[in-house]
Formats: sequence, C-alpha cells, structure tokens
Amino acid sequence: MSTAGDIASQLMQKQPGLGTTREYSWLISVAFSAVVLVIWQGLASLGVLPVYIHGPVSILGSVVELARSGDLAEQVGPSLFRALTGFAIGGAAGLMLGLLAGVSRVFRDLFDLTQSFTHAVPKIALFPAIAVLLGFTDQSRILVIALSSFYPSYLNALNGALGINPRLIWVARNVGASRLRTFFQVVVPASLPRALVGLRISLMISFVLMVATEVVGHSNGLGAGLMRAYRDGEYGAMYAGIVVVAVCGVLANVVLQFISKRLCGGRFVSGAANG
Amino acid sequence: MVDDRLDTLHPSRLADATQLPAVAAVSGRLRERVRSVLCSSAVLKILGLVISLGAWQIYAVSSGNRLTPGLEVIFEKFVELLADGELAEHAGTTLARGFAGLGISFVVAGLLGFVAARSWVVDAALGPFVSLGYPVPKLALYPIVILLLGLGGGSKVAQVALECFFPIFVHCYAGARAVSMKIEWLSRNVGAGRWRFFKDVMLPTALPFIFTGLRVAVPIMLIVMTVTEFIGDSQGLGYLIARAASYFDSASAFAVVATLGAIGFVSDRLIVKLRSRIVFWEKGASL
Repeated sequence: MSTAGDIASQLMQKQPGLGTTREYSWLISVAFSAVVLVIWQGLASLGVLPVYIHGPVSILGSVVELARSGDLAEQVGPSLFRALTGFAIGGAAGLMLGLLAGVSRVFRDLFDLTQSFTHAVPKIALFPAIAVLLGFTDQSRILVIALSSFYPSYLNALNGALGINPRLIWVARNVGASRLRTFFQVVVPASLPRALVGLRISLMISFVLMVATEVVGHSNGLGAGLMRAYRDGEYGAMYAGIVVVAVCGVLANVVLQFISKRLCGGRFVSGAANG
Repeated sequence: MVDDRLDTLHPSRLADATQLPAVAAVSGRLRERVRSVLCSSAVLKILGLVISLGAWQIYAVSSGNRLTPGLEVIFEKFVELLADGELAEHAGTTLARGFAGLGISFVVAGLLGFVAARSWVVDAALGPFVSLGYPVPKLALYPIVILLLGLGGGSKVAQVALECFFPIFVHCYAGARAVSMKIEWLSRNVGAGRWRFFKDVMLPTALPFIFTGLRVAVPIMLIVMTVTEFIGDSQGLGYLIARAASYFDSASAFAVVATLGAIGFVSDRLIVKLRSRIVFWEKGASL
C-alpha cells in the first residue's frame, strides 16, 4: 500500500545530509511554485493551451462560483460522509484486529493466509459485484472503502505490536500487571506510532476510493459531480470539483497528522512503513 | 531485520518454546501434543483460510441466489473464462498498459527523485508540489487526462504513471538520501567521479528503497487500471468485471476479481524474490 503522505516533506526537513536545510530553501520553494503558476496562467490567457485546460485564476473563479451556487455543500456532504464512515469502520477494525494479531500468535496465524491472499485484490474490483447485491448505494460504497482501508491499518498495527521491545512486556508482567493491563498500558501505547502511520495511509486510500466509487455508476458527491461536469463539457465545474477533492484530501491528512502528533508526542514517526 | 529478530524473541513464542519440555504427566503429554499440533503455525494458517472460505460457502448456499455464488460456481466460471481465452486476452491488455505506466513513472520519478536528493535547489523547488500532491487523490484528474489523451489506452497508461509517481519518487529520494556522509567522503577521497559515485555507492544504497517503492506501486497500478477500465472501455479485466456485473453474473465477476488478486499476489512475491536476489547483502530485511 501507499506510504505516509508527508514522508517526503518530513524527509526533506529532517534528514541530515549534503546541502539540506539551506537558509533560503523556502524562498526557492515559493519562487518556483510562483513561476510555474505564472507560466501556466500566462499560457492560458495567451490562448496557447487547448480550451479544456483552464488557468489558475479561472479555476479559482469556478471554485467560488461552485461554492456560491450551493452545489459544493451538496456534493461535499455525502462524499465526506462516505469516506469518513468507511475509514472509521475499516481503520478501527484494522487497528483492533492488528493489535490482537500482534499479541496473539494464534490470531496472527489464523489471519495470515486469508490476509495475504485478499490483500492483493484491488478492493475496488469488488465494487460492481457488491453493487449488484446492494445497489449503487451508500452502503456498497462505504463497504468498499472500509475493506480497502482495513489492510494498511491492520498490517501497520500488527507490525507495530510485533516491533515492541520485548523487555517492556517482560517488565510489565514481572511487576504483576495482568495480561489485559499489559495490553492496554504497554502494547497499545508502544505500537501507537506505527499504527497511526497505518491509519494515515488508510485515510488517503479512503479518499481515493471515495472518488473511484462515485465515478462508477449513478451517484451524487464530488466524484460524480466532476464526472458529470466532464460529460457535459462544463470544464469550469470539473476543475472546481478537482480542486475541492484535492483540498479535502490534504485537509484530512493534516488533521490526522495533527492528532497523531498530539497522541504520540515525541515518538511521532512518518517513515516509509508498509506491511 | 530488527522486526524479525524481535519477532523470534516475542514473549508468545518464548512461552510456546518453554511449554514443551515442561510436560511431565503422561496424560498431560498427550493433551499437550494434540494442543501443539492444533496450534502449530501451518495448521492454524490453513484453518484460518478454511474458516473464511467455509463461511463464504455457507453464506452462498444458505442465501441460494445467483448474486452470491458458491465457490464451485465461481471456479466453474473461472475455468470457462480461461478456456475461451477471454481472461488471458483481457489480463494481457491490463498488464501491458499497467506496466507501461509503471515504467514511465519509474523513469521520471526515479530521475527526479535522485536529482532532488542530490541538489538542494531542485529539492526546494519540488518540495511544495510533492508534499501537496501526495495526499491528493489523483484519480480526480482522470477527466483531464481523458480530455488530453482520449479514452483509449494512452489515458490509462498516463493515469497509472501519475498515480504511481509520488510513492516511487519518495522512495527513490529517501534511498538516495540514505548514503551516509562517511561513505560519501570516502568515495570522494579515493577519487570516484560522479558516475562512479552514482553507480557504485548511491545506486546500491538506494536499491532496497526502490524495491519497496515498486512493492507499493504495483497494487496502486492494479487499482488504477481496474477503475479506469470500469469507466468506458471494452478491454481489460476491469471491463470484464463491469460487464459481468451488468449481466448480474456475479460468479464471473468474482472469478475475474480472484484473477486480479492472483496477479497482485504473484507480482508481490516476484518482487520480494527479485529483491532478495539483487539486494543479496540485506538478508531477511523486512520491507
């Protein structure tokens, strides 16, 4: 599955190496972004680009227009509901089963083969079959999103629990902590950083799947809105939809990252982690 | 590597190891032996698979409609699809397009990743694009890609390349950054030029990361191929699923889904095998 969303930016700041953390690197970042935007806008207003490629200014205009017309709220609501519900179900199930499999060899072995076979299936491929059963409804969409976001959470929680320093557990058991207490006071906090990396990957995947499930079949929501705009040739609305999807993805990532940092304090990791 | 070591040290395993010699009573020994066979890894793993397949079969039989087909029906359909060559043909299309996109992504993202890792100017310039672009669902850009390249194979290849770009870029970047200062000074000191440094120092250091990137990118490639083939195409496994579902032929759809799963599973194993062959100096490292 995918790596943590911000690993690149984290690496760029933290990794000590040649030529990192120059004083003016932010200046270059801003300048280069500005140059790209200006060239894009310039080409668009000169009319060099094809009609269906809009410039940044007109895209911004379409976003404002979409927000004013009330379509935006109408589309964002159902989409976010699906993505977040699916993420909550899949992520929570993955987290709990992963921790359970991490501390119990029996559970780990029981899930192992099933997990490694089903993990490789692109879960979106199940969507038409599920849609035949449940229809193109919120239920089938949330089910597919939950299925997809289960695996990264599960694998990272499992590896987090397996990677705990065994001495921590021995000490806890030695001073007479019960199994349950050891689990909640040692295993859960110690595997939290890695488990949260898994949750962030799950969140990103649930947004991808949100768009994917809305694009297929009859639907409302952001993905359906931008696909409809594409079919009708209303490119302004299409670009506005894309921008809103992007902003939602980035915002959700930022929020979860903030929560992760608060929860694990200094032990926050953002490394490349996957099952 | 660390993960594996800790795994063998894990208390639950230690407990298993210490239990065996501790049996004294004969009746206890028999019970213990049954227990140890029942709880052995292999038996449990197979049991887990059997339970999940059995649960599906029971549900399929008890619901008794063709929307939830039993395993034997799915297998039958699979053989049918395989026999008339349809499955192989569509799988070929999907894989050819998918790997073409992956290849393009690898060349572009790999090059940019290495350059960004070595040059702080490029690094700073690309920084905002990478950290903003990574969490965005690139699938939302598909309409623009269609407008640019049409509904044929080109737009699918481009979409795969787009979606796989960021994971591969990040891993190549991290890999090129993993060269330690001392090794770099050493290689400069013994007079290695830019090319030698790249070939003999940076590439071997980055290889494990690159393989991890590949392992992350292949499932993404399969997802993107499936979704883009759902949306208006008449070729590929995604189309096959969508067509089967539109005829309410769930069995065929599940057969194709299983094929996709097998493709994903096999390519993952292949990458792991290839990695342990090529990156032979990192024995048993967990990806």
